Amino acid sequence: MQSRIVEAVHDAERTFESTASRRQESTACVRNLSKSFRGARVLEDISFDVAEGESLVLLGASGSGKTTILRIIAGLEQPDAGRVMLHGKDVTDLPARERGVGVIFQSYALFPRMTVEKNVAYGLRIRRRPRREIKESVDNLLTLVRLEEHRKKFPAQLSGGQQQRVAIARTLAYKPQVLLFDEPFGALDAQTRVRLRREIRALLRQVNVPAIFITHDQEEALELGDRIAVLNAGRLEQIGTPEEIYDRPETEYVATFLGAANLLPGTVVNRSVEVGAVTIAAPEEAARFRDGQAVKLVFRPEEVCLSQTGALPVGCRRLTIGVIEEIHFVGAYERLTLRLHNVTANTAGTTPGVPIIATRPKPEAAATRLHVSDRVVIGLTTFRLLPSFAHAGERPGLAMGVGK
Amino acid sequence: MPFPDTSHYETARPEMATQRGKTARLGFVEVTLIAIAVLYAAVLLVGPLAAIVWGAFAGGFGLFWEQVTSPDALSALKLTLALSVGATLVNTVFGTCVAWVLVRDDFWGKRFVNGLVDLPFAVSPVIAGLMVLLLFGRAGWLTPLSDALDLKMVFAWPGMLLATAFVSLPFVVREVMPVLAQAGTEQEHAAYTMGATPWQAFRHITLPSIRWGLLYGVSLTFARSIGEFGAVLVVSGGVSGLTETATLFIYRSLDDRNNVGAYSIAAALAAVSFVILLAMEFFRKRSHDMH
Amino acid sequence: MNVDTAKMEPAKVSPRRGVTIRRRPWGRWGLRTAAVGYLGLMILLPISAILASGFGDGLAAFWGDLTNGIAFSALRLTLITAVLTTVINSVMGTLTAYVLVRYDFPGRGMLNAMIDMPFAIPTLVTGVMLVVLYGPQRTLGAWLESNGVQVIFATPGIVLALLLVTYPFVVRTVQPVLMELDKAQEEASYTIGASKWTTFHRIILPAITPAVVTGSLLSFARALGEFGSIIIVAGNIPGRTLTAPVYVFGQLESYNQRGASAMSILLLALSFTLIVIVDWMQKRWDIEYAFP
Repeated sequence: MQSRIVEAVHDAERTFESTASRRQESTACVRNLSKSFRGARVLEDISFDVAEGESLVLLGASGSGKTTILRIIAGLEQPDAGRVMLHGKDVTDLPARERGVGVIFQSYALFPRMTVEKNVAYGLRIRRRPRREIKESVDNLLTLVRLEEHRKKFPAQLSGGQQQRVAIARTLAYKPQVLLFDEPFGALDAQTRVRLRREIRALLRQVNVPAIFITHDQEEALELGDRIAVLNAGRLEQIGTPEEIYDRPETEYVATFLGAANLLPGTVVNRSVEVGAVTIAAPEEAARFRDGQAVKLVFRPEEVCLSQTGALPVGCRRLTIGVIEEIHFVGAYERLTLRLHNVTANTAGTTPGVPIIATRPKPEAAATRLHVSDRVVIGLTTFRLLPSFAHAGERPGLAMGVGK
Repeated sequence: MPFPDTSHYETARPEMATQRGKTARLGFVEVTLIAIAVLYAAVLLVGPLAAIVWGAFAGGFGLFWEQVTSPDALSALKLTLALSVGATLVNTVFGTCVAWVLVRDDFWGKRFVNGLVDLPFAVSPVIAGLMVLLLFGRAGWLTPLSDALDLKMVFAWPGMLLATAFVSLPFVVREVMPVLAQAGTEQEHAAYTMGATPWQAFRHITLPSIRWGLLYGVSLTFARSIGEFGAVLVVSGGVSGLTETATLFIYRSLDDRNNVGAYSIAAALAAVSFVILLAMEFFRKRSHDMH
Repeated sequence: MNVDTAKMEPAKVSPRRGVTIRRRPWGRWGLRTAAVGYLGLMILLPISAILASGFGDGLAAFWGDLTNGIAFSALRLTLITAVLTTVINSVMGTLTAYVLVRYDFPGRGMLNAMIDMPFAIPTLVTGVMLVVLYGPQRTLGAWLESNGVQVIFATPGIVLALLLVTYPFVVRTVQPVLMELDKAQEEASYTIGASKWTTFHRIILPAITPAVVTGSLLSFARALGEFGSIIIVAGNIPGRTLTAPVYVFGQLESYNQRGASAMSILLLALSFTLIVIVDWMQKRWDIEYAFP
């Protein structure tokens, strides 16, 4: 049984040999896309590439324009300006049907009056392939997505995850140049999501087709993407590997949208940063800023180290002293809210001090117990400085990522 | 004529009735209300229906059959069938097209166009006939065109076809529109990205989704066409055997005091309508179940 | 593997639309043209022809065509019978819908199925049925006549025909609204101690009124244009039992196209107004049915 499946997977892989031979050119490439709907700008000068076998995640809140990009690549929408190139060929003026893209719609858009195998065969039927070839292809694909025993069923008889696999198999059938996933897990429950993410990654590795995902879920983005493009209000904020995006966010939006981040306003003075009344050394981080420049000090909750005794671990730079306001145990780690008193900065009125969030892994939390109202020394292992474009009324302090 | 959608009444099954919490015990008031409703329906519907059956078969089945199969009656039935099939075909094709445009397209004046579709519902069929006379009669606007094509419109079947098509125009449009809207565009878009042309996407994806609604509309169109009288009466000129439909045959038979003939054909038409009604119910239920 | 973006850079793209040749979606334009063209040819053009014919000799002639004795009485008869039909329909239709939705009784399924019958049966056949049943030579007709009630070739016959033809409208518009109406409201009213009548007219009636009005307007519009059954039943005596649509037919028989057009314009205007009102009511109260 097992070996039969393995064999079938190999078969399916062989189906994609021809794709592999085109490896060098098989990329999707988007240049300077702009688009407005009724005078409202939804996309502004978007450019990016997806390499062979790579998966790119377009991450953004709703209304960030990510769906529009997907629809433009698929040919379901026309850009006002800019080009779309697939496989080195400019397809901007081609209708959807001549582009050879595979779209996995959010609702899957399976054809309800066709069985699973008819759905999968549709792209080949349209292309008038010989019956035998269609059958072979469908067999391979159904094996690949493990739906052989459901081939005669109708979409309505399948679970959400199975429907998604049909949708994927259906697009793989005609060997698309790029796979486009529109919020692929939106309609599924949390557990199924996690399982399907893994499945899709494994599948993509097998078929070696470049993929573009769109999602608003940062966890999904981190897990699915070889690279992530963060979109905000129609602009591309940053594009890079998950590590780059997480560890070296280039904008405040990226820092806060992907994961939780603390932001403190400060000023660069002599290779260190002044935050309110305290100063923290930043020999490398501040190198690209001139003295007196306003910056944002950005650090993740897990980059905070706490000490009751005042002895911070090696490599941890002291920031200031704070008081613990709240402690929550959140599974694998402990989350603390602290108020930094010396960092009054520009908070007017309200409670004095700035709240930040810190996390400690469970072993550490168990070793040194902390309590609400404890005074602790706060240090940072790493942090980044971003140029500050301070807006009036902007509040310093914590900003939480949407997903958490 | 506007025509309520009947797709919401699944009241006929008693188990559903109890689920809805119907009054279990019927008191005096309830029984009275039920009696009034049933009596009213009986007097209004059953009485006349029974009367026509009696009228047709009073002289025995043989006489009925003789009337229905007389050459004039047969040719009238044939013309009715031909006109109905023709009008239904035209309205199925164009009606689907109109429905598609009204649901999927957006253009200036769409609301007005949408309103136009309803007009044949509310217009007296005589007026539909008058329209054909005015357009194709003496000094009609389109008479030069029909003359050039050597097509006799007034007092001939093309004009009757036009009048019938006018009267039965809204049904397909109005039945297809909601199911088309419900089917949505995503599956069509999926088909496009998979390589389908718009026509292929329509044939393979959209048409199967809307088929029961479409068939319901088609059966309504057909029923309306078969029964059309006023419009064809005005246009036909009533040449028996040439421009006489089944309804016109009934009308002429009554004038000629050939009551048995009139009743027989009327009963036959009523029977045909019944069959269509059953088909309509079937299509409507399927269309309803689909969504 | 990342592709060198500089290599992929296409020739400078002009931000202006239409510099590059785009494939026009001619299919969409073709469909739009076909749809609008079909409706224009089938509906707009004929209506224009009627307007031209009716107003062709000026407003005064048009007015004269409508206010001459026979035309005016035909119009009056049509309006009176249509109103009468509508009133009876609104009461009996509501009652029938209520009984069908709320009570369970033997034959309910039959009754529900029969409601649609008048939609399917040709109206001319309806007229023939009524003549067979109530005609003066018939048992029932003769008996009624000996008791002073003339049905056929008289106003009651017209109303009867209209009632039969428009029977489904109110029932079929009120029924879904009643079915969706929360039974709990009704029961709450009973538990508070309200009588059946109070409950009906305080709770149920307000909820179904828009549907009743819509259904009634539909049957009114239908009654205004009815021809097939009436020409058989009414006797068509000018000034007495001649309705407006039959009057139009009569004018055509006597080659008076202008007179026929004038009356048609008036009926068209009435119908169109009713369509607009019904359309508005449907949107306003979200009354469900496919046909407006």
